[in-house]
Amino acid sequence: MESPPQAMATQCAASIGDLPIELHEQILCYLPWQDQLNCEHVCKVWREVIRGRYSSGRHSTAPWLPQQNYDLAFYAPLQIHSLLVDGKTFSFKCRDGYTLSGSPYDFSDFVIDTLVRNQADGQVGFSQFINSLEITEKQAGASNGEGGSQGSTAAVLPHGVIPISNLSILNDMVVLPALVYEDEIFRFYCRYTRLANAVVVVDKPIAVGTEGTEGEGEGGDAGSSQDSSQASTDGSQPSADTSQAPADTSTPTRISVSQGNFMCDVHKDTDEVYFRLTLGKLLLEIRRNIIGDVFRQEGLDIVETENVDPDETVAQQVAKIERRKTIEDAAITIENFNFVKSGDNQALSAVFNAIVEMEAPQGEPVAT
Amino acid sequence: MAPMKLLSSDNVEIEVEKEVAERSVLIKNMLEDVGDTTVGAPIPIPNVNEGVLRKVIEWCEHHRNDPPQPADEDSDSRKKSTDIEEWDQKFMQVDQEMLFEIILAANYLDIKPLLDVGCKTVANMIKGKSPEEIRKTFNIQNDFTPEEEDQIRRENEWAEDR
Repeated sequence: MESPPQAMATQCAASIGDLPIELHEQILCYLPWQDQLNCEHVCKVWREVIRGRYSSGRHSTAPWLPQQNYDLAFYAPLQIHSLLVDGKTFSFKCRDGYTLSGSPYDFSDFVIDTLVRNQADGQVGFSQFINSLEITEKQAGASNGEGGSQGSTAAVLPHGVIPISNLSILNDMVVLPALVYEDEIFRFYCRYTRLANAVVVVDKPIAVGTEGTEGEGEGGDAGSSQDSSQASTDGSQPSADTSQAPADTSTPTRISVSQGNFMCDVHKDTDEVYFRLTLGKLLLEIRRNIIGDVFRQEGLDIVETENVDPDETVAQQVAKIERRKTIEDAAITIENFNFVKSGDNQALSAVFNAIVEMEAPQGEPVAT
Repeated sequence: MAPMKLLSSDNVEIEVEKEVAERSVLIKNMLEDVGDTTVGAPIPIPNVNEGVLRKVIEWCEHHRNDPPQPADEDSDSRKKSTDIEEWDQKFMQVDQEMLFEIILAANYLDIKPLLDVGCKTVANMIKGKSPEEIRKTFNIQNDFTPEEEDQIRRENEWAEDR
């Protein structure tokens, strides 16, 4: 059959605008993520198509995030997602726990016992997982000329904190661009600045020394930070403090403690075509590296080796172990999380500030 | 091979072999519903004009012996690849109006492989272009306010200097 003359087609000229929305979706689907980002700028329809690909109700998504089959009714992913897009401040805690078929769940001990008894076939594992995650809302009036520092943390302004439920979703959240090929990215680079969060309690003097361990293990850097934070205490109290319970009126001051970088492995998908890194895995890696950093700095990273200082008393060793436990239970706060492209290898990487907030025996946040 | 007739939107009868026409799931289902169609009136295709219909039939004839698509039609690998076989590439070298007419027809007639080729062709036209170039190519109106553009740019900043 002969091709018709082209002129025939022009009698009812079709354009891209005539296509139904699902065809726009199909077309944009074929594009690598770089092009998808470009297409977001073209027109509103395409932005909606690209960002709303997996949920109609969402207004803040990006193509590098979840290409997952999670239940769209979940609220958590949207909140968690905005952590990365908006560079929100968030903090999380980890602990050892059980995993079921590779996914962490916060089961009660009874349930786990039952599971372990009933199916000893490796379905139940043991690993670290994230057991709490909170987003700190940026306070509208909080930036009182403090040079851009986010002066308020979770510890200070409880009404600005959104706890996230459904944490198992973290493992379904893909951090990397959704469409990544092998030659593009296979490592995820992270660069961090660990900040000391020196807290000075203003109007409620803490009885120091009742537990006998107060102040122990505080590095010299934390000590030096006291001076500068002391100086700024009076002037920089946010007005929100008036509405606070008197217990926790404090102004954290940020001082750079250390800097470092590390890499996360990006897992190959089962179909061996695409690579992905889940948010849960990323957070655990961040935590592992940051905690390790703290250990090294406090000289605690050799506690479990044979290389024990013979002069060390048992009490000192116990104190070290206790200190390690305290550090491991710390909440890690991430600020200013940003995706960047590093120039030389063109790999996607992340830059962020991290703060390790430990619970002192009295519940007072202690800086490292 | 049994011949049958299709009637385009501009009332032109086109003869086509049944086997070829059945590349269209819509026509196939129609024929199954109607039963024996070797006798009888042409099947009206009210949304497709003669030029486009002939083009679509040309594609169906070339692909008459293609194996059916695998069942897992939404598998990632199929979605991501914009590879188009050579004959199809040539086939799709038409002006934009015709391209979109073909896509619309393939969508209406439910010819999935043709629809895929069409969409891939459009995707390839988008690839590597800046937003402004894309708008120009497809005559798309920029309906963002400067503030909205700024907002998107900020959100995508991490990828800017690639």
